[in-house]
Amino acid sequence: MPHSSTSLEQKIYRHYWDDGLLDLFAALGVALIGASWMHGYAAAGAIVPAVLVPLWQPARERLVEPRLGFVEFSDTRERQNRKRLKLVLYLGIIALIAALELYFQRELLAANPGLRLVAGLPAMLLAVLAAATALLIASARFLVYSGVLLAVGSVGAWLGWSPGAIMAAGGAIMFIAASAVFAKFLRANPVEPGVRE
Amino acid sequence: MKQLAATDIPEIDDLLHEPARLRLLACLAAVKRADFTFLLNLSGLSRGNLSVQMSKLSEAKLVSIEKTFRDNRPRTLYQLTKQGTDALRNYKRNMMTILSALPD
Repeated sequence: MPHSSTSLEQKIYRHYWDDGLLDLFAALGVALIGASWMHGYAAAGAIVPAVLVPLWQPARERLVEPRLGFVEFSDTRERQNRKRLKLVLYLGIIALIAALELYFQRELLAANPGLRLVAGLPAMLLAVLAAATALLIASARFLVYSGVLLAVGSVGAWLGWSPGAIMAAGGAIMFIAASAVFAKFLRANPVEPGVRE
Repeated sequence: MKQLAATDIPEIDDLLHEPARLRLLACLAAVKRADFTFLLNLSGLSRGNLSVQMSKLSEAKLVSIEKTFRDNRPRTLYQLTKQGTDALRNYKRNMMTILSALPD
């Protein structure tokens, strides 16, 4: 009976991600990559995730666990997560390669107005990544972020923005939403020091 | 015709049949292990009530307790034991038998 994927387990799993810290990190990543691109630092596409990903777990342990508590999910869930995480990683690598290619072709794209919609492609690839993350953590919020990135990617490209500006704008919108979710979590779950268990 | 004996009606374990304890056991059956704070948030019980219920479950060996420290803060981890899993299985089976006899 234990460790099976019941509807209660699914509810608990969704509850585990309700704090919004992952949202905040994802938004910060997208915004930072976009802002770096705008200033000509294409390598940020690889550096920002490499810096942010290892920081997430310690941040969760320090900020979320004292409030929400600690839970370890079943081996079945862990195996399923590893498979889905691989999918997200592959999608991330594809998005990174495609985005870097666009970055190096930026002058060619700027010279050809017919190709300007391609500028929205990095944000759209990140939208796919956000949708895959929604599947991984069973969170509807990441589907909304995916929609935001798709919309900003389309509109920004139509308006002739650079890929960096589009990602920075999408990341900023995500960051505002994620900050609201995280602030609500912190307010609703104050830490009570020195309590007896 | 065979007469119905008292033993034909399944017994319900009082320890498990209490709503707060049953909810806690259901939560622990859904995960591998969880700490006090997590169960507190999930169950909506008061600290005192949760502590009392978990002690009762632990005394009955349905739940195992592991006390650790993390960042100088005490952390109590709870996990359903094999005995707890079997007790829940038995409880579920008996309840299903009783519930199936109830009118629609």
